[in-house]
Amino acid sequence: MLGAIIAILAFLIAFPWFSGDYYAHILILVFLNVVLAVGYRLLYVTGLGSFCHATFYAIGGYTSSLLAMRLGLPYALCLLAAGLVPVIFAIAIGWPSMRVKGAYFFLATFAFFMVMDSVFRHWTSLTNGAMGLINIPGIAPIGTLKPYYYLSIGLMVFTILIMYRLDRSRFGAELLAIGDDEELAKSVGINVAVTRVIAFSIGAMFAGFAGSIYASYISFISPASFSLLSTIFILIWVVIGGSRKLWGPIAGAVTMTLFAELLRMSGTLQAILYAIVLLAAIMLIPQGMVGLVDRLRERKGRHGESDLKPKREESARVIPS
Amino acid sequence: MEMPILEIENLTMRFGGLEALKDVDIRVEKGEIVGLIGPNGAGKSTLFNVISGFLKPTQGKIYFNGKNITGRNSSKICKYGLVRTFQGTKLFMNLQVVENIQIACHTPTRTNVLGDFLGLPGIRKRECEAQDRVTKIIKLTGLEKVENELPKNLPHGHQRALGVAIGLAANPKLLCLDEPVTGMNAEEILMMTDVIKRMRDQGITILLVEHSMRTVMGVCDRVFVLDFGEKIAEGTPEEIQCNEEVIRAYLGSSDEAHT
Repeated sequence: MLGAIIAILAFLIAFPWFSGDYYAHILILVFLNVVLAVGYRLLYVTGLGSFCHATFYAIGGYTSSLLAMRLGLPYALCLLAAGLVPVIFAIAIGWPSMRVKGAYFFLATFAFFMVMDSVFRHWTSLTNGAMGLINIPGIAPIGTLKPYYYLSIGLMVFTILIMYRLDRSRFGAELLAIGDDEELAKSVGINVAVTRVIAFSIGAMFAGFAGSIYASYISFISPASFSLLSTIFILIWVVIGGSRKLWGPIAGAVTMTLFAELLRMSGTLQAILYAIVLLAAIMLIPQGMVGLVDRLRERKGRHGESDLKPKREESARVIPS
Repeated sequence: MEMPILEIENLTMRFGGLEALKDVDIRVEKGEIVGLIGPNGAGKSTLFNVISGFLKPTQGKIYFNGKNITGRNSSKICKYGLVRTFQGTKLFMNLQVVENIQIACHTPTRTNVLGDFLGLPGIRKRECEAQDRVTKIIKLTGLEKVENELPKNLPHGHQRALGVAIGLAANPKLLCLDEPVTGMNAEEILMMTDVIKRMRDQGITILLVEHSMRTVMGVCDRVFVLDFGEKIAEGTPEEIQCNEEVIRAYLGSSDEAHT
């Protein structure tokens, strides 16, 4: 397993030297999308999906771009700020809306998307409105690709490592437990609202980092780059990949991003084909790819061995407390 | 006289026009096993939900170890040491049995994401202690053989035992059990009552809602009877069995009194 991961990483690191710019460009988008998807999953496993993940991506992009353009700050500082500012927003929206029941969180995040979209469009003196920001400086001259390729793959690996560690911590187990049964989680002393706000904020932070790298790589952002559809795409990646395991949203983001790119060649049919695949995936594998693999393994186990043996495929994961 | 572990005063809970609890007073002393019985719809579950912070009472006060906990949120109340279990099978269905218990196993200080993440030594040490407790709880509730199973693959008796184990893991001083033996066969009931008694022997006070008369009469030191949201009687099991009003409200109309 580890060997395979190292081989894939080595391949990806060597990739831009022989692939040509187009394919490397696609991979940069894949890396950033993976960051968005695994960040979104964190809250999603507790049974809540937000409507503003792409808005955090946008806030990261605008924060980093404006700091670089208006104040001329070095990129490292811009990147840092791009991660922090979304966290402040996430706490401000998450804290009041998650302590009450029902649909308030959905409404609050949707409203937040609307408000920020409006800010990006109409606060012209700051954001240049619908025209967007152009010539955004970054770590390398505009038009260069390799530095951004390595920056984005670096962010992706960093994000996945953090998420991997979180998954194996008590915090990660609490998130799964809340997703299983919120009431029971409360009854054993898990503060559901606080735990969710933390998950929401961590997701927002990584979305902000990704937004910063996106903005400085493309060197142009506008409100149209971060529509409601962008958030829905992130949701789709997580749903298709499956959220119970970390590899789910990674697989979802990779396949669906590549698939969308492949469909681009089919021209006007793109949207229709995408929709067909999406519907098929939701109907055929409701638990996503993760659920599909689990089911296949379970079936294999049942055929191969005695029914009395535990069907769980992994050794006991120990939750630290 | 020692302070009661749980004291409920004039508790009233209204849902619109429906009065689910009416001026209920209950005292539970440390180390007791107290039963709470009553016909369906008498307000037993509502009382549990109010005590454990899932519902905010319309009126009245709840004191736990002398501390006013009325209207506190449920995770706070759990940390004070008042833990409840649920009717039916309410488990973390996608976590293994052992993980179900681990997740409920809280240590005195709040878990902290960062320290947890970095694997700080203090936290490591607490992990070991917690692991010790998990093992003990699994043993007490008889779940050793199935600890790596998913709860949905367990027989009913084990599922219910796991429900109690989860409550026990949350480190209760007072454990409120909501119908722990409903739907169990005789052997499973025997085992569960044994677990309840052993928990009491370890210093945990038990408040028990149950339909099975034999269980209530067999394990409880004292019994409260609710009917239409009002407390109509309290006393030892023997007193309750002879109480005219209880018989009229609850036992008289049903054969359950003799089963």
